[in-house]
Amino acid sequence: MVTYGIAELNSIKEKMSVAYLHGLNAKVNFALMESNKDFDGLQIDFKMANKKIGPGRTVASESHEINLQLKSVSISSASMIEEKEHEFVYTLSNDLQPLGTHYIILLVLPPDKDIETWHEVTPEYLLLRSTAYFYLVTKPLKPGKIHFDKSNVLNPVSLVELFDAAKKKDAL
Amino acid sequence: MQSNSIIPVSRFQDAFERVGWQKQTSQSGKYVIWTDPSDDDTWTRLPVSESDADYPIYQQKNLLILLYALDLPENQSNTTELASQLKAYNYKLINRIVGNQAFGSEAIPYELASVLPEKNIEAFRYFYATKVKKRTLLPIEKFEFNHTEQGSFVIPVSILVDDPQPSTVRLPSHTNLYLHQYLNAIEELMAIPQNQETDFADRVIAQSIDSKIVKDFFGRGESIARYKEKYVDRVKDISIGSKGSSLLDFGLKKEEKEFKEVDLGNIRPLKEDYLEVLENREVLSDESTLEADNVRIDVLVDSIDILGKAKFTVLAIDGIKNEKSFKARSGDLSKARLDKFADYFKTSQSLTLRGDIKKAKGKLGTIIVDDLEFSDSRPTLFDDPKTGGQNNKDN
Repeated sequence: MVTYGIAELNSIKEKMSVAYLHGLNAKVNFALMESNKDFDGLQIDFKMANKKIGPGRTVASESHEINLQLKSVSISSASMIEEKEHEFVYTLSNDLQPLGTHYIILLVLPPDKDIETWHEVTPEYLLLRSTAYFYLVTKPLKPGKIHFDKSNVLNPVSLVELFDAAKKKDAL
Repeated sequence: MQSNSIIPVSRFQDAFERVGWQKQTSQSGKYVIWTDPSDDDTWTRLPVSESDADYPIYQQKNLLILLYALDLPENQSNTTELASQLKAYNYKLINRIVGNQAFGSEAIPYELASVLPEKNIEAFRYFYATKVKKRTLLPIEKFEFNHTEQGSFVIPVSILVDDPQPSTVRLPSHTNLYLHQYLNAIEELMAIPQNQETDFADRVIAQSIDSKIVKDFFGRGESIARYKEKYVDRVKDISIGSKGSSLLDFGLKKEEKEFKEVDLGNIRPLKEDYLEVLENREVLSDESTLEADNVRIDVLVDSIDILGKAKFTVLAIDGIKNEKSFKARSGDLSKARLDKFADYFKTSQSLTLRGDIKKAKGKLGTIIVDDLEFSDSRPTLFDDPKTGGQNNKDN
């Protein structure tokens, strides 16, 4: 069995969350832009737009754009995540100031010891053995517990629905 | 597509108003929401404070949103230009030199590349000062040297608009109007045949083009024509034009937004006597009369002569603009005062004198200068710092 250092393990977890997002996006085919250095310190990893403002443009109306912050954790990381009947309780370690329509996407992976099973590649398919959950950040958060409802699974249907929150300009 | 410095919120507010987007303050008070009037689903948010951590993100985004509102393609050049407009509304006086390929694309003569924008600026400043109703500064601040295409050098000069019209007005700005008039005048000037002195002079006067501008373009001394002739083998073509302000010109007609490019390719210095004949006939044709003592006289300095006198174009008396500017000469001046006038001559900025003035029909006016009351020029690239600043009393 291969063993990994903490940094390497975290890097693999991060790549799993990116792969998960790209995998879903391949289904809905939205515009997905990785954050550039402008977003340093704002904790946004990706911007996603379900409709650009016009042909030949990279920008979207606020009503068609969401910001995604990816977190990836294995269920065995007891200090980071706790599973309850209807929710996962995740420990946020830093202050968080939402930017636009801001979601935290939490990828929950099998225990670290089962790392070899996290992905499965066969001649027929590629499988990522993990599930992501979403959480809409509507106000600044302090370090502490965040509750991810187990019904908030990120899948191609819910991904489309994430944009509903972006439409609510009267609530800004 | 990066804009490195912060553009104030107020500039974005003004820009969104100019393009007709609808304003709404957010419930939290943290943002102003701007919505496309033609599509309620297209909107953006603008943080109310530049100090917000997310302001740079929205600044960059709103630049791209404004390009969309202006119907301009989203590219680096338009983004940079829009950021420049948001920092300070400006028009550009464009100077273009096309090199002769036989000498290679890098072979643009420095002297010509320096004189062309310099004389173009002087001529436009002079044109503006003599046409504009009230005494107004013409701040020219930015000087760039761009190599835009092979063999073609473009030198844009920014003319800042300090006092733009309100966003609700859909009329060309003063700068827009005078740039159009100026380019028309230069085009007319270029078309006047140089066959005979008096015929040339009469046609220049009939077009209301001042001899000072003729000198900038066709003079035998420092002029565009002189250096075009000097480098005739190395330069294929030269031209001048202008570029508008996408935000100030928003909603104008196509012909109001677009500026002509005037070809100076055939420019050559005037023959001996042409300018002297023009200046004499300019004075002879001037029917204005005037006599006033101890008045404030707004002037442009046309020339300094070796006899210690200065020649002026008189723009206004006691703050009242003349129907038509006219020429006048000073009496003998001290060296210090001549030096001061020489500074203003170099920059083509107007200044105010206090003194007595007398002007008879068909004659050159005379000014007895008591005092150089104040100046409101401010330093620019071509200015001597000594002339900058307000209330420079010269005793």
